[in-house]
Amino acid sequence: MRSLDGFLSGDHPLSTGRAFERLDPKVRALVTYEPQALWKLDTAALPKALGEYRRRMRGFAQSVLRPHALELDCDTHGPKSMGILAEAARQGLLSDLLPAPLGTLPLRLATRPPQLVLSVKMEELCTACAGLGIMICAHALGTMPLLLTGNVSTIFRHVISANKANRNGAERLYAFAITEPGGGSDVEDNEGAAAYRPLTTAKQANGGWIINGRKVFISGGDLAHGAAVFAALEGEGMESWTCFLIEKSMKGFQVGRNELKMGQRAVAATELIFDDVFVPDSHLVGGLRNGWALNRAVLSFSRIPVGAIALGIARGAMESAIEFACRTTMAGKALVNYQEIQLQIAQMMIDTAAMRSMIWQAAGTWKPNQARASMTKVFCSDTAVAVCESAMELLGAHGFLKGNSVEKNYRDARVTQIYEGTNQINRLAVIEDQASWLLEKCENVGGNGNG
Amino acid sequence: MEQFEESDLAPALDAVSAFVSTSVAPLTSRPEAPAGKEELVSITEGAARTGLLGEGAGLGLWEGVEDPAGIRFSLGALERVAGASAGIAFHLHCLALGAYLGRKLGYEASQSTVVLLQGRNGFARGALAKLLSNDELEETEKALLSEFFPAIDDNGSPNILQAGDGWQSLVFPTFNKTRSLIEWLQCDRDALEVETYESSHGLDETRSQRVLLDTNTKDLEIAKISEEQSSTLYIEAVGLNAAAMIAIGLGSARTALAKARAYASERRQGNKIINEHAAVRLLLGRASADLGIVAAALETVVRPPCRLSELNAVLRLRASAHPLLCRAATDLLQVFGGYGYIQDYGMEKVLRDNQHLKLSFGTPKEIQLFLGIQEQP
Repeated sequence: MRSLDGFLSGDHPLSTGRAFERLDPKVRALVTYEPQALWKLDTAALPKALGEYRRRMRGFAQSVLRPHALELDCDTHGPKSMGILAEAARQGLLSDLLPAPLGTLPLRLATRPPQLVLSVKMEELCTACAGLGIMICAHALGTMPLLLTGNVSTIFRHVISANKANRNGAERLYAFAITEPGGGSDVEDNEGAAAYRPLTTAKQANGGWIINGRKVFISGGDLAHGAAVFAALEGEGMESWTCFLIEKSMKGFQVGRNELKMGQRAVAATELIFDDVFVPDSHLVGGLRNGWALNRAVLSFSRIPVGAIALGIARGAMESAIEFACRTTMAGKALVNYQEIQLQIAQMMIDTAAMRSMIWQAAGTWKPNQARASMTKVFCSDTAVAVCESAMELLGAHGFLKGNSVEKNYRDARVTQIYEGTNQINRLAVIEDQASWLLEKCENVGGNGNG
Repeated sequence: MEQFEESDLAPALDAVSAFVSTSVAPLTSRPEAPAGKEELVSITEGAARTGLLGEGAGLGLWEGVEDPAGIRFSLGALERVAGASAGIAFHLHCLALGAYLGRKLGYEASQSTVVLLQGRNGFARGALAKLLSNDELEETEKALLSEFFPAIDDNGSPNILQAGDGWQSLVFPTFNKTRSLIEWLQCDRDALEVETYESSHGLDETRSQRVLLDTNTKDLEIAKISEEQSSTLYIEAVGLNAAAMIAIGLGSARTALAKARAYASERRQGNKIINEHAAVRLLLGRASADLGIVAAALETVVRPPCRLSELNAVLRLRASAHPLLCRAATDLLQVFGGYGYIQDYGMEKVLRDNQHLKLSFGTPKEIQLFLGIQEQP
């Protein structure tokens, strides 16, 4: 029987497997030794329908995304990417935030929190390629403020009709547009927002609104049919923030430049420019001055899947490193036989397992919580970068070669510490959630809590 | 050869700064469009004109290194060039070290010789330490060393040379398995098959290249130096290379720190400029502390290592310095928020360059194994 260096073979009397065989059968019903590949183990732990969904997402990611991941790292939204997007639409991946018949999510999954389903999907897609995964899933973020209005008419007119179009191959995507050139963190943080003068403004006109301003770093903004754009009412501050659904066909809406990014290059981060764009009242989303509330709700929902994006990237790096360690020999033995390599692989497995546990726990509730969402985002993004660094180091001087994928994983992972609020902003969001408890604590120990 | 006196140091480094301002910085002002082949040729010629790439007269990069001032000049010069571009500093370092080693090996002087120190698999799991200690080697260790040292008669895995375009000859050490010793060789580029990789993680101005000996090439001439000289030269080359990579990383990260400080004193978030936020101050402060540690450590390198214990000292620095430099680079990128991730601002390039340097010729873990094996009783 084969074994890795440093371990007894499975048929050795002192091996763990053989040892467990000698246990009383009643005990073995409680304590078993059944080594399995981690992916299978985790999938088996999911409810059956979610496990099936995970298998399907993995199949799509490995067959449709992975073969093109390196090539499309240098070719944002070219013909091949559009082919992938069309295939994703055909397979229902652009419309599966809602269950059938409103969308394409299998009905059995409607009993699971949507952020959990989306997190499972994001991990699988981003294991193959984060850029392509986000190209496919940015639409979910774009539709989120529409869904969170709770307004049946808005949902039917925009989300359900987009789902129908996407299912029929006429891609109709929405982007989420909050960030402005001068205020990345200000739109993610309460205190910053209180002092921020928004650049994008809305002025009332006959039958609608005139929008002027700019948004930057909008994922998939150049592909989108429209965007959920947050603007302040003329002469007012962030408290007046209002969400408008602005469609590309509206006069004065221009797509600006796609940024040259460090990673996640398969998806564009786009500048959107609004020059006297007339938006009819029918495209006002969630009511006047409700934009800030919608934004906060979206971020509480979306930060957990950002953790899943980071997890997918880290798992991609780990899988590439394992593949390298198995195919590369040193003094006649595969690298995986060397203890220092085994230690590095084990640490990557531990780190990714910890990330997944945190995501599945945080996403497993129907009411995403700001602190939990931010904690998950921060922990997973920081850990993902560390895993990617470790994978690069395992490959040594081969780690910086593009063909080995792990350097791309590192570049892709780095932005997860920045978008959806920098990790510093997210840490403060955790404290904001805990402020009442902390103030109470201050009072109990004699402080006045006023700083 | 001229002696490099202490009094030469400050004016020589000022001259390098002037060269960087006039000849390097204008060609590297757009991080998203790194210097190409023509710009690299222009900078290389400029470096030769100013004496930075000398001909062994004693006042250029990796010249006069027997004197502490000579070492400090080389490291200081690389740091200054790296402040504008780590890739260009690395390119000049490769040419200068290649010329230095070529001279020591008795080869014809050339300003277009580069050195390939990087073999496979880091430091051969510590077997390199035993070789350099003249310890008895086991067969497995010989096999590890055979793979580790550049073996340009392709044994199935590439030797990766990181260098700018335009080099004409290659100096490299190889392992004589039969006699368990290091030998040095030089080879013209024409005698090699060179395959350039599509792209690599950092040092954008240079290329990752796979080098293989053309099968039609006749036997190469081994440098005529003693076994002891050969081993000592290897220790020196590895040590100088290690110190150079720290200096290059430090130079690029120092520029990033200056840029981040400037950005943090202008950019507003909420009702204040961002350097009034503790979150940003912590990032700037930790980066400053990290760079301070690395700078202080680098100052301890005052002569080329010629014994294993001296090489260990440099490698200890390297095992710690690169993780600190990478942490500083990533902290400084974070100060810029989303703009840090955009190529135009140059912060992501500094991070990629430092990651690349960290992995080249011995990762921190590989160095730890190298050091760990020698500390056994």
